[in-house]
Amino acid sequence: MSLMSRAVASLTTEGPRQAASRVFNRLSIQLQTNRLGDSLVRPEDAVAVDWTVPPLFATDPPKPKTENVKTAWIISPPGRTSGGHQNAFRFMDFLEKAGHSVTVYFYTTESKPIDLVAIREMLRSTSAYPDLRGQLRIYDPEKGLDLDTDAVFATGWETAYPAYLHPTNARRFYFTQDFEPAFYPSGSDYVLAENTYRFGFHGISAGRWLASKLTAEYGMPGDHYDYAVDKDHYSLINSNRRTEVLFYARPPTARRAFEFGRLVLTELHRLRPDIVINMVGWDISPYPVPFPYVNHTALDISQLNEVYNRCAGALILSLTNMSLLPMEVMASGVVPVVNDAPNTREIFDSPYIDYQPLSPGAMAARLIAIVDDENQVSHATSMAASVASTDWIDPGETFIRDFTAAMAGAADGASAH
Amino acid sequence: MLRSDGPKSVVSKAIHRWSRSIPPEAGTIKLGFLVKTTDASEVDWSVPHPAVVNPIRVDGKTVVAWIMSPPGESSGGHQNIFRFINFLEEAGHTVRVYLYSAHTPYSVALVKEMVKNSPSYPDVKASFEDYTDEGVAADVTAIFATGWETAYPSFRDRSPARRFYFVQDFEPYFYAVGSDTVLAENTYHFGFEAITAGGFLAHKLSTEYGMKASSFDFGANRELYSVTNTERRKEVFFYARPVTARRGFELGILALEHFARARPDYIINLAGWDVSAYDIPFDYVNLKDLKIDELNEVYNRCATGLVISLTNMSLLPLELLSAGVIPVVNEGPNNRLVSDNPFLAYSAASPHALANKMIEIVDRQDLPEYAVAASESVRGSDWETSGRAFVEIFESSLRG
Repeated sequence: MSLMSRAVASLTTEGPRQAASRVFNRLSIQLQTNRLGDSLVRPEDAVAVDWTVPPLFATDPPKPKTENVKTAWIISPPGRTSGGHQNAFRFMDFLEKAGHSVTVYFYTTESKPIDLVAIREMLRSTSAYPDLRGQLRIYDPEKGLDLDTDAVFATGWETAYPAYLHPTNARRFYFTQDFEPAFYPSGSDYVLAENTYRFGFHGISAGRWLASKLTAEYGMPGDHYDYAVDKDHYSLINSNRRTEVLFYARPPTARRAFEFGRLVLTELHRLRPDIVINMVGWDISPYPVPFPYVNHTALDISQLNEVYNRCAGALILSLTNMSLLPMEVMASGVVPVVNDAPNTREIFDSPYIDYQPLSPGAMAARLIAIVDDENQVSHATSMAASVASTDWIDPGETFIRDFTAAMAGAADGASAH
Repeated sequence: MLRSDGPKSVVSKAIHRWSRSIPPEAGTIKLGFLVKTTDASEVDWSVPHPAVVNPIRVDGKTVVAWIMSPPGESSGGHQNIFRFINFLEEAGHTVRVYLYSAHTPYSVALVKEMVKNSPSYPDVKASFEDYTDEGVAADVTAIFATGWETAYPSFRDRSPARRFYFVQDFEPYFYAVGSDTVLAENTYHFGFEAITAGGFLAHKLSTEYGMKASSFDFGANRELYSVTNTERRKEVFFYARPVTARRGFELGILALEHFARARPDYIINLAGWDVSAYDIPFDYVNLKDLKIDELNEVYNRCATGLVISLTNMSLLPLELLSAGVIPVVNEGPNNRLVSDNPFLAYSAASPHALANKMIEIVDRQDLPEYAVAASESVRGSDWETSGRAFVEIFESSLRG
């Protein structure tokens, strides 16, 4: 006899769903945010874009123009410590130095108005931001971008929507720094973010893992630049044996897997309570941590090398695009224990990076082995030397070369659309 | 400030959101997983379990343990688990249910009572008990993990029983990439044998994680879902579940906004959840959470139904077909590999494209005949067939 025929349950019997009961438990939270406008993109923009129909900029690409290019960058309002914004502004600066112009348009769905005066002051007073000559504007959907813009740059995924909707055939670039759909559970935001890789923009990606992923999985054309380690800030200054370890801990950044790292270090401390654990990256004090540790919070870049040089090994977890940290700690003589995955291997495949499966026990055992390594000091010396001798290609040169080629129409007719 | 984290575009957004709330007090933020923290910490899957390295072989009727989170009455996932427990019992096996939860308080007696009395659950003979450090009973020869967190106690259990994994969705997708994703994904490396709901999961788990994986097909109950209206239908349906991210509620609303503008004479029904709290920019009928015996009447008023599934496909498309409704489904292997029924109208997950597909269907000249043909196409899909497939996979694995 069929079970379902006896069932008088609700429509929630839609079938296989492991977590239905868990979802119910979360309801009280989710119902507080019951507006459609909570996405990073304006719903009007998400509705207006139909990427399944080839756009003007793909069917009728502009004539080559490689000098005095007028570029427009659409970006969310920057914060003082936002590494992503700092990097984007660095690339705008490369364009200006190469003789092009930049206009920045700030795009947000936040109800709080954008304070341009405060942003200008912050950019001017923060050494991590370059001094840009270009204008800063608030993106106004009624006005859009200047119509004589030659090249439009999207940055975060939500800015790809206004970039797509610009009415002219100006070239479209997408300054991608991470695989942003992974910042969401599978749902509408995931889809809206993922779809932007199908818009037919030309990608300028941070590292080759991201570029090859976007091309292989979404047919998105583009180029990438390699990261470069700042050799001035990181070097080997301690040639004695080291007995401490480091964890790059950023609880608000899910992809840095703080909770998982905490499991690894819980196991490490259980086995070896003598090993001092340092945490850098964030103030950890509000979070429960069941072992003693040194809370360095978010240190200034100038203070990091000293902390690194006390450590034999570092636990660095990157679940999407890899952090620069493994290369930086290596320059300071610290062995990075990194999760083994394409996103970490394809960025900078050094024999000194200790790739490990994401098993707390296995990672804890590796960190202990690194501290106990008889050859720890000589290993640290040769590792630091390997980073110091790497000839980093300047990201700015790579970018300007690729930008110029794209503006010359080198890829026309070869793109996804 | 540590700014050497490298390129990341949304950091400021995260920081911005963070800073809007009052800074937390020291020691106030709880860390919690679905799995018990000790289990997550102690499982070292880089060293395989002995029961996986040297699997025992069992022929004939046996004792099967199922580890699961405490079932709720309206949990579709649990209802489906018990559907298959029932198939095992009908085939002569004995089942012991073990409840596992890191946080939610529950009572074994109340759970047993609910399963026994609820019309949404089949009558099973299975025993119910709490999963403790003692592990499963000595007579157990096969252990099924269900939700990802239950794979951890199964891995830690010293029992030599064969390890199976009843997989109904790709659960790492339920989280933003982070620690939960890792803990869920790691369970696919445990060396368990997967029996999955539909072919997409079996394909994904075997190709990406090297799991031994087999699948059973979805069924649709013809006693519940059939064509009762052969006239031209002037309404449409959207399976709207704002509380379940993978049902793409917001995306569906964006699509329906286009549809409502293009075909204003069609009534739009939203069912699956009470959506009255949401700001929806078109006229619609809020059917809320319908009873299972009310659905066929609603379905039979509708020409097409929009069903977005971003992980494993929902059961709804097959049920809609059975009732003569043409489902518009987002394109993707997660749906295609579960059903290749030619009446499913696949569309790119763009608001315009989804709406255009719905318009195409309601404009069909031959819609009433097409609806009947669609219903006929799923005549062979029933749960008894799925149950037989499941029992056959289980028994032959145990023997092998």
